[in-house]
Amino acid sequence: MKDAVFSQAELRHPDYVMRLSRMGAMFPSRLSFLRSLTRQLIADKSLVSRVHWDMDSEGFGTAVYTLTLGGHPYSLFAITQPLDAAMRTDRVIAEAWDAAFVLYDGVPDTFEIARLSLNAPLQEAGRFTSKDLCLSRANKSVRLFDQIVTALKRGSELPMGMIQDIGYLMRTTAVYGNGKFGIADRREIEGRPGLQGPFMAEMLTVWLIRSFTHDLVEHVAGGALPDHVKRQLGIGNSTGLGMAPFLVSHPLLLHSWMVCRETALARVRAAAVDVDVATQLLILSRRAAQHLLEWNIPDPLHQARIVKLRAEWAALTLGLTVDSLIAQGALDELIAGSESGGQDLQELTVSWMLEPFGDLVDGLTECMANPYEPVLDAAMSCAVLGDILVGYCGYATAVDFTVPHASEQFWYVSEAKLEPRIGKRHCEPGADRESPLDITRQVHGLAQDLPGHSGPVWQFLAQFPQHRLAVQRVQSLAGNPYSEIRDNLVDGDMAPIDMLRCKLSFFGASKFDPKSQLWTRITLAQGAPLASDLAAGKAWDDWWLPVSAP
Amino acid sequence: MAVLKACRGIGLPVAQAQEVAAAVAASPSALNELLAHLAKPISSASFDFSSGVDVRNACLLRDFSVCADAVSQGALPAILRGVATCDVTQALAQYHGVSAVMRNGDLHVAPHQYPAQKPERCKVDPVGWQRLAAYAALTYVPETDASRLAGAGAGLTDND
Repeated sequence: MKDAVFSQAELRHPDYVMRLSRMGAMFPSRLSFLRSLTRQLIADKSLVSRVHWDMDSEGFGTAVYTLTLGGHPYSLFAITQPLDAAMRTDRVIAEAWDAAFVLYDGVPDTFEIARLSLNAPLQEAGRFTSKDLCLSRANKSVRLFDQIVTALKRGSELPMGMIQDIGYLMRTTAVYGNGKFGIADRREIEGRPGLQGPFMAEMLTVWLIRSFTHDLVEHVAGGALPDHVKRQLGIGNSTGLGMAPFLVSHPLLLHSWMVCRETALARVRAAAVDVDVATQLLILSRRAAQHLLEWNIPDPLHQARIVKLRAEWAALTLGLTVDSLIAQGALDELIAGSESGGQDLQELTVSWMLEPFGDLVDGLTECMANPYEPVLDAAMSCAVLGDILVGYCGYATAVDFTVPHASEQFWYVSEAKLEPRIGKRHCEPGADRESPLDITRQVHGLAQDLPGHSGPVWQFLAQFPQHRLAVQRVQSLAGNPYSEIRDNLVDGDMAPIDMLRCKLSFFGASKFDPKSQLWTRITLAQGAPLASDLAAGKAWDDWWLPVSAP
Repeated sequence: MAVLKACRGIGLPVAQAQEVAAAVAASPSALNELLAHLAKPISSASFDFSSGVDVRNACLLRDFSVCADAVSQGALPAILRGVATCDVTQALAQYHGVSAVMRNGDLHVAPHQYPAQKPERCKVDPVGWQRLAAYAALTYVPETDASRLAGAGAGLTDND
């Protein structure tokens, strides 16, 4: 095995990186989980077989797709049923969906297909086994699905503008894994080749669902979509508050993701740029520009951000040539140049720069899984804990929580189907049942009560048991500096959408389409290789920022 | 998760609730006896650190971790006065890597090593599970029209 020691620049400071507004400006990159998955599928030469198809002419029925990854067979079970328009909602409180899916460990036989047919449509109300790895459901993009069916039936032109704008035939409204609702725990599969990375089973589910949606629309229409059109159809997703708490409740995992990304950037900044890399950067800069032009969304606030980014990107990349990019320090100059623009520009620049450096950065994806949780260091003295609070937690101790605005919001779980929600503390009921996502406020409270106490932390905690979590988190922060969001998650101006975008960018999502500060639609796997590309040996890991086909 | 929420529902601080949940997940036989502890009011304990730690008026679910911390630092003896051993104490002991034995009516916590254990699926008593869910429901906020409309994203119908 060849050892590799890479030069690297300094990592960007967590005070700079771990701010909600910056996290809410992140873009997908080659470190994203879907990219890792497709690289694995390509390396494995995985082939997808459709082993079961029982659909009526309207596209209602069941299907099973099977592939082998890392030597293990996996199958996507899909079932579609008629859905009244009045019942079609993307929210957690939905009771029915256009389609339901299970990622199955192996190949389901007739008995298992019958079991899945009964339970998958019930989703959380169903009964699942350890053979069921992921559970998902999706609704049609009604407009696009119907228009494509109509065009294919008539043999008329496909609605390419709509295909480009929407980018998916169905959007998932949840993709559950890791033991949720009785499905298999992640520990059952985390050691398997191909599934070791974060959310790999979920990404595989999504990628296979995409194939299903292509087959479904072709079946209903009785016609075939060209491959270049299929590549532009990813899988949509509607992401709401349910995803936000994850980043708070998995701090060490978050640290792993962020430190790998920052390390990747640091390596790239120190790397030499040769002609090939420079050429790729130029091509990708133009692709990014085209992507930004094709990315249009209804929300005026977020559309304004995209418009601003188009101009800033054009200014940053104006006049770039191969020669200018291979010059010493060129990448650092571009990073510095991006600082004169907004955070969207800065984070787009980061993702862009990583693209041609697969040899330098792809190995970091093996460090992105992290099963650990913060553990209390009971021996630490109150004095040392106090030093850590001073050195690392200024973002929390500086907040004035006596001002109502600083704690205006509260996170909670509704009785209604356990839907995560956010409320206004000072004018809505329920704050007494607040979900403990107010880490910054908890750290602040610790900082208020700690002074004057000496001796080991465990004795302090005997008298202040409510600070145990905060102590664990603060202690962890010293060794895992990217583990905490350095903003106040109950502040009146806090926008959950920033947390969603951060996590979704790690998934590989693009075309963020925020509908409010609480939820967004996104597209996954748009531009990704198709199953037929894998079969033909024509699948490439080159689909960062999807653009319309020429 | 249900155990975590149930512990939070009765007012246990979140870190201690997490520890109890992890302990019971690894030792699901403790679930039934956990319900008895959830039903008890949370007391205000007193601590004597003059020799190890001596805890009076303890709430097992909250204060076991104090004794486990003390043991990890060699601060012995670690005593929970008037607390009886049960499946829950044993689950917590195993989770924390300590032993918990009765002496003269008090629970003594001491160092111990356990073999590594992989959590397994288990059957749960439906009645007990419902009771646990009732405690967990103490963390849920009742639905109102306002929260239904504005508390989360997405529309009540999405036919676009």
